Amino acid sequence: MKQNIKMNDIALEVTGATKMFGGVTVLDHVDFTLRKGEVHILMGENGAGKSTLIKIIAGAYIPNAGSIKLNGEPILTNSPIEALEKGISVVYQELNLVEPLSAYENIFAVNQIVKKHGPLQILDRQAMIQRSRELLEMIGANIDVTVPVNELSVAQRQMVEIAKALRMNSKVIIFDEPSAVLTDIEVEKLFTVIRKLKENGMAICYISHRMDEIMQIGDRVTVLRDGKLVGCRDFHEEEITIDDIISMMVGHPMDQQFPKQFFERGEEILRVENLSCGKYFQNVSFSLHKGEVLGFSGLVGAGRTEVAKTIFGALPKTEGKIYFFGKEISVKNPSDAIKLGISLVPEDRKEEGLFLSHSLYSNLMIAAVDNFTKHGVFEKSKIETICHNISRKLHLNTDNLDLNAENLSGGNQQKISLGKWLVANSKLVIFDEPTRGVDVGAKVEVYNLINKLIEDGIGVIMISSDLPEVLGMSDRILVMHEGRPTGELLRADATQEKIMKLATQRGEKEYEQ
Amino acid sequence: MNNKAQGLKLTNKYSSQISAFLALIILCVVLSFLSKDFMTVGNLLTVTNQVVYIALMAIGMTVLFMLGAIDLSVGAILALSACVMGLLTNKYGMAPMPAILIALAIALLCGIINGLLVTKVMLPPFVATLGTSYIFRGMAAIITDAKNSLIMPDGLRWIAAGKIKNVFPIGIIVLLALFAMAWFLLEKTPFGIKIKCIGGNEKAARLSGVEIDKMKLKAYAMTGILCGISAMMLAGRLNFTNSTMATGAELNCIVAGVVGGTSMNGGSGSIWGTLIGSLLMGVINNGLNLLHVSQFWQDVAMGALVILAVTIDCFRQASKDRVKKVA
Repeated sequence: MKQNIKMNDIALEVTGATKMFGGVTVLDHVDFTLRKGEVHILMGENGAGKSTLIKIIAGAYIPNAGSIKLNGEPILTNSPIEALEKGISVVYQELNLVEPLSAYENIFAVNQIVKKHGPLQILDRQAMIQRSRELLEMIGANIDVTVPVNELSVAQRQMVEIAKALRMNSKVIIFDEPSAVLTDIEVEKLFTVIRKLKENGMAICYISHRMDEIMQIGDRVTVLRDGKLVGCRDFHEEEITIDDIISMMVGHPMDQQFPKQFFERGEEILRVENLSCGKYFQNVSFSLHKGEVLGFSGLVGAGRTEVAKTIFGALPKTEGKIYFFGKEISVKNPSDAIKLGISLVPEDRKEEGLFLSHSLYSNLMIAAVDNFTKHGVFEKSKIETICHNISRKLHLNTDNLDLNAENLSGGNQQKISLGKWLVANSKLVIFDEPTRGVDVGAKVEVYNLINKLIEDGIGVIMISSDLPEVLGMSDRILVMHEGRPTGELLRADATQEKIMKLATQRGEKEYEQ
Repeated sequence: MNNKAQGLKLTNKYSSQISAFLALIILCVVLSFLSKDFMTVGNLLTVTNQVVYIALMAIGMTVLFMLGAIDLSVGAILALSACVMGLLTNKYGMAPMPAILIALAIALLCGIINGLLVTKVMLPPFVATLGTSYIFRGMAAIITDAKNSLIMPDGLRWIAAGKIKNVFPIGIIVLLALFAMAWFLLEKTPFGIKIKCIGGNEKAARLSGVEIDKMKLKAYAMTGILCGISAMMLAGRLNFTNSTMATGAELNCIVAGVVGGTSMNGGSGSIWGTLIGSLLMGVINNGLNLLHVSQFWQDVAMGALVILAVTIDCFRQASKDRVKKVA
């Protein structure tokens, strides 16, 4: 690689950025540079540390170590406003506009133009409207700046965000997955704007999962994995293929332990036909049999969680059919699903799975609480027997079920989150990210529990963004991309590369069977 | 776990109830020094009988707190229900029993209206019940023409104001019976666990199959009917009804619940704590009366008590969070 970059070519330089959350290192000595007039792609799997890096640059997080230099001068940003004033703007995927306000009011969200009348400062709306129009014209966007933002399309709102950045005289603009919410034509328009900004010497960082557009717009690419820098490559200096980038992202060989057990494939438990839920996902079909684990792979936002929640009755289906043990079912809410024996161990156990300040008894019995009564009154002995049986089955590290759930470790909390469904005699368990926030030792215990469920004839669907986990524990893997299934892989055929390809490439249906 | 640890855990679990109880005892001791009339059996029973109507409504308020909700219309429901009964018996000469049943039905209906506003219209409980409190009290004034009904049925008089052997108020028996029922419902049946789980984590409760709307509706309906019973007890004791009865009683109920250790954030609470909280409030009012403190200063005291109680609740919550982080 040529190293003859002049200092003044570099707009932003991050060295050794490190961020820890409660002892967990999410970003580990990452270096990152942005040159003036370049589009630098930032890539990595979910949880690789991309957003953490962005938030450090944008001043939303304070790094534990490392420095940031803007135009060669070290800066220490303590707040997003400060970073913005220094010329660093971020266009987030979930756009940060104040909805009922108009476009120009958003563009002038800070440092409004005012007319001074003695001690009084009065907003100069005309000047602000005029300036906003000029800014939007500069990027070729034709938007009525006086219209409330919520009447604008997502693409138009992005343009307003860009105008906001220009107005702050930003030298660095970071785009956080801007194309995820746009149509193809809108993406083309966005690229035209980005190219224009680039010509004007703006330094642009672009985060995306779409391989095709990376090749189109990128000058350089930096790949992060597990919070560490994998490498930085220059598209102009070497031939880089999509496969190269994917292997950089996936990287590590499978070295974790997956105690996968195989069982004979039995009767069909669940069959889903052309299931759709509005904008979340469309036309999802699959089946699950006794004796197998069906893995769900894909990037965040691919619609996997929503499929699970729809089967579980937490989201309303708009189309399609669900068959459970051969019979068509209609579930309107989770309580219907639970009565049938369908259960969901949610992704965020603290938010959606557990009652942290309640006892383990409450947590375990809540889903089947009406079954523990005789003439409407609790039978204490029944509660104790069943809950203790289940807690032994789960290998819980405590016998004291009067403890509050908040006192348990992540792994044991996850066991409780599953345990409530065992108490409720579920026949199908859908795990959403079963080992997120669970330490390595406890992960194996969760996998063993999954084996045990299968052995007992309980169906298991496992949604996971952890590729080695999906590959290690599934018998079949369904891959989704932007609300659509893009392929189904058998365990024997599945590789990380194949999954990543299906998970990132659009419109390519590749059913391998 | 050994006995000592078990004991410690119990004290921990009921710490707020125990501190409320200690506060009650200390207050009683202090008042007995300040006023000769305070520490007499007669006065103490009178004090208790006077808080019956607050305590009954506070049961409903406590259940709503556990749920993470609130009802600011309890006093208004009481007034409307009492006025209906007073009007039916006095103006229309209806027999006491059907009049009372109709009044209770009205109270239940008011509770259901609150419940529907919160669940179906999805209004924040604070706003919904503040609105209905004006509607209910306004209705009470409209139907009575803002006039008093002055003759209450004998049976009601006996239950609410009567005394066994001229000493022990029957109202206290009603009070204890209803608290025991509430305790049973909350601790021995799925109702209580479901309510507390909704208050603790509504999302998780829904994903655990708890029917949120149904439970909220039940809690508001229950509060409504308790306000109805409370209305009958107050009307019977005062021997009149009018549309300004129990004005501001919601504040008393809030204090009773919070002082008794039920968090307004939902998820936990104790019905016996609420009983202690109600008594504490009765004692403060009675004490201030005996010490000839003006009604205006009593209002000031009550307002200060609300702020104090909620502040303590906030601190309790914050220190719990700290403990969580350390652990």
